[in-house]
Amino acid sequence: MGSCTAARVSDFNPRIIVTKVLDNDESVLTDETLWKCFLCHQCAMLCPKKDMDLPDLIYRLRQIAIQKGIAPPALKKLNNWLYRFFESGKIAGPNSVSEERTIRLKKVAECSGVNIYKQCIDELEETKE
Amino acid sequence: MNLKKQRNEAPRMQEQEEQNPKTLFNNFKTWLENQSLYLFSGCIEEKYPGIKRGMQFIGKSVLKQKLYSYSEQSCCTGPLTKMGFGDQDSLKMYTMENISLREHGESVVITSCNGCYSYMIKSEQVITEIPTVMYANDAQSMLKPLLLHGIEYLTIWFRSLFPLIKYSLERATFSPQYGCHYLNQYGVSKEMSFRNLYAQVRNLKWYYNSIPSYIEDIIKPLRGNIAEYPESLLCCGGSTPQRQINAENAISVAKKKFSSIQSLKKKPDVILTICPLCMFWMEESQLLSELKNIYSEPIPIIHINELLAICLGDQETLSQAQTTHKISLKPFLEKIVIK
Repeated sequence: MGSCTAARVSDFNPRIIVTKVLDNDESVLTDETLWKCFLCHQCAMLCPKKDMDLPDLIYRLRQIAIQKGIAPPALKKLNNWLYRFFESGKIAGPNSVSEERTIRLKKVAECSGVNIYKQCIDELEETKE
Repeated sequence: MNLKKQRNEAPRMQEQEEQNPKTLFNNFKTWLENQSLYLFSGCIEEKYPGIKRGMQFIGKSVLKQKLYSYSEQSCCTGPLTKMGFGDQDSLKMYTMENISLREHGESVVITSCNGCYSYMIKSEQVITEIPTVMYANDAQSMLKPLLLHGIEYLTIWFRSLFPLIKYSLERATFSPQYGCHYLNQYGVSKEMSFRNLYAQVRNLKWYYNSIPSYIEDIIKPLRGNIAEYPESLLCCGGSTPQRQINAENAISVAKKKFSSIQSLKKKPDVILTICPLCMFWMEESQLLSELKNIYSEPIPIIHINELLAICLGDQETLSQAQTTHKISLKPFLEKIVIK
């Protein structure tokens, strides 16, 4: 715990997250501390149980929370990344890929089945109309 | 000579030769010299074009290697996956998309961004095992290229670069910042990755969370000084989602880091990093009001690509570094002296 980046500066406690998962406690998905992990992988490196990929668990819990529509409202601040990615191929910076490439990136998103990607693409199409 | 014995012994001799770390390292260098390389740039590098320019200058102009980059390359999508927007499959597909841009048979992807590095490994569309790509046939090496971090590439060729370096760093003190996404590699093969191979060549005991020596192995021959600080191996707090949705936590992490640097008796002239995101956040955070009280002067940050290209005499990298960094590099650059 002493080496966890998030635990040092917030109430994030990775043990509570893992305990809730093991107890099949769905409140882990609405636990706001789930979104405080920095995903620095310090825990994965230091944990003596080498098969325990805690950051991977955090990613997956976040995906489930988003799919179920129970992600925190503050996450909407990151929507501009999604729009930027599907419009220019990048999430930051002034440069863009070609339009042909953005069409391809959108097709990849459709094949991937990630709902929020599809939602974002639909919103962008609606904006153009 | 007993031919049967010779043939039976030959594979074992080759195996022994391959497993000798110095031999493998040298064989790898020879192999790498003849490869085409794909330079993959992270989105955050667009804020600091000197990082890409530095690597291009070193790889193409100085080392005369076949180094290619593609304007159609998109974001690695690591940050999107990190926040749960994407999943493992989408990460895999976008990495495959980026890798499919290769037009020159590139068997190696080099990236100077820790985030891109760690997420490409996570996508499982690149490999990190050196012998696998070296001894593969062409079809195999084309499907999944070897991934190298920029600092690894520079370390491999540093001896070739050393005689060409025009400046001495004897008046400068550097504090290293490797960054968590490189230090805490998860999924990289322990046995055959570059990091492990190099540690063996340097006679350093490699264990899963060992500290690389790349920065020190470049700075010390150039007569520079290293100032380690207690929090040097910890995350800088620059996680982009955290900066957006839990900014106070990101700032607290940066505060701890800089308090640790400020506690040194001899403060560094510059923080030397291998990660553009560390560079961005360590600059940005020092200019926030919450951190301005900690020290009198902010400490500039420089990326290893920029530093080496400047020391090799590239004026364009120097110009880009001077114009794009928020904390002026001028006091540090005045300490670099011509040899």
